[in-house]
Amino acid sequence: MHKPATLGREGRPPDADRRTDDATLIARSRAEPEAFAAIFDRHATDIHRYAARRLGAGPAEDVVGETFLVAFRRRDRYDLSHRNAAPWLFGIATNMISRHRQAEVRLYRALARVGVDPAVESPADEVVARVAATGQRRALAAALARLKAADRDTLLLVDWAELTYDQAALALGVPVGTVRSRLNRARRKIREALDDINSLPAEEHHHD
Amino acid sequence: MTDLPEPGPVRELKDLRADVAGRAPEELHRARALLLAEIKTMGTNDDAPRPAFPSRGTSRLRSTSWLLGTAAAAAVLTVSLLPGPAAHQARMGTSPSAPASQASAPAVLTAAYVLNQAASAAAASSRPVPRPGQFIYVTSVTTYVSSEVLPSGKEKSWLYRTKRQIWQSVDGQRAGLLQIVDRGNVKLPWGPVPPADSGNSSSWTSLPASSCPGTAPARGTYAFLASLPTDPGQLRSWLYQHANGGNKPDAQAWTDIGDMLREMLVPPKLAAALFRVAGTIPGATVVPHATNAVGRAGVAVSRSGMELIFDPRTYQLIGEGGVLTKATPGVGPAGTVIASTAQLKETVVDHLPKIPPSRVDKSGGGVTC
Repeated sequence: MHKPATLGREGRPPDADRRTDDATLIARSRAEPEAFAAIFDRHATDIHRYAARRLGAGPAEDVVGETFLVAFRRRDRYDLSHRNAAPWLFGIATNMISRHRQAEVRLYRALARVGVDPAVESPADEVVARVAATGQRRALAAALARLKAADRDTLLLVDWAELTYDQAALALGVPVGTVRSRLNRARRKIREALDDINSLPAEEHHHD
Repeated sequence: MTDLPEPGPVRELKDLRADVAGRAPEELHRARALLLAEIKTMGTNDDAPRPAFPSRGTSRLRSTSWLLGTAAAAAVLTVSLLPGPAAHQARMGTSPSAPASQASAPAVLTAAYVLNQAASAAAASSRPVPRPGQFIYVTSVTTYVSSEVLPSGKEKSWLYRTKRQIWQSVDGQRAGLLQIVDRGNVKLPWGPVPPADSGNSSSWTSLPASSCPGTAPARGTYAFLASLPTDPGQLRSWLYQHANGGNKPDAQAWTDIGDMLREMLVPPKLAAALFRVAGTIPGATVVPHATNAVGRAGVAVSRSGMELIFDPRTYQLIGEGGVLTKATPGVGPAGTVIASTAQLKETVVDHLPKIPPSRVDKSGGGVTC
């Protein structure tokens, strides 16, 4: 006898029990694929924000779509001892983002060149972005564009996606020591870029 | 190991682009629809053949692949309930002799139901009967995937749209003609920007004769189709014994039926039998809201992403659709629409149009008699 699918059935919202952890849902989705929709509902916003920060909003939705398709197809191989699926999903998303590497670097370079965020969605946002564009911000973007891809992936998983070192190691499939050394290298470069800017005369500062 | 102290997080980096907001799950329509489509189609695509699309440079003379409609992946999500009484066939264990009412729709639309309706509609239709020496003339609008392999070895794909006119010798003994008018390239949802297309450029190609006098007409000709059995059982046996490709039998039968229906005027009784046979092939599902290449709404039956689209009232075949059932590198994830066609007109004519020979390309592969 088949169990009824739980997705959207009357009287039972898809993700009613927030205490059900990701691993349980993924295990359930192996027999009842619909259960995987709750994984999307829990994590899609975080993945989208992360991807949008790196690529802009348009490619970000592509990344979200690709990430959850791949995750769904790999759900049989998910290690159920990890109760929270976020590191796994961010790892897949990292691979999907890497397909857009040129777009990412272009975004940072545009930001570095004119200080205007090319990925903001409205003219009003653009004005805000322009005003907020400081020399610091431009230097940061330029430094990000120059980082090695693996270093940037690691740095942004920790500083933007706010994964712990252990989670980032899980996401990237590398030892935590590698995460640490990549982070050290990346942060040093970022800080050097900022120091260079700060040692210049304050020509970039706005006057009220 | 490093001599420098371990650097802590850079606050300015954490603030960079921190105002970018993530969208709520329900606002990520495209991504969510893709996942749900994949969830819904799970288990029906285990023997999905990779559709063999006509490539732009070579085999696009006659579309050897199935067509597709612009059925969005989201359409797969919908389960359509027909209005009216839930007139199921007799349930197991109850009077097996109870006559099933053919006129009533089942509570849930099934592929077999749609195909049987299409068969009835085809059987009741009238079509001109061509004579040897005449030509079948068909016009259609198509969208297919075109790919190019970059020097890096990576595949780059996009959709190319054309309008086609084809004249095919009824008995295969004369040369036919094909005109393709480009209607421009379209970006795949996850793909790169396609190369610019000149737009409206037209090419004419001569189709070589395929059959010799005194021999059986070649597969693909009208005369050949007219020679096939129109009893569904016999036709089914013939199709499975004469598979025209190496896929698993059911997958190949579905593909072969699509090939026989495409760009052709099919004798009504044969069309009816083909639809009835298609209705017996396991694994077909209904796409309740499909659209053909000219935007006409229809109901489709789909197997491994290959759709036949029918008018929802008359059950006339109005086009084909194609959707990836698995992520395909360089093309897109499951659910990506990769083919859409609309067959606009099929009729019989006596002559090929007069096109200056200098404007007509020759294609190879014909017979020498």
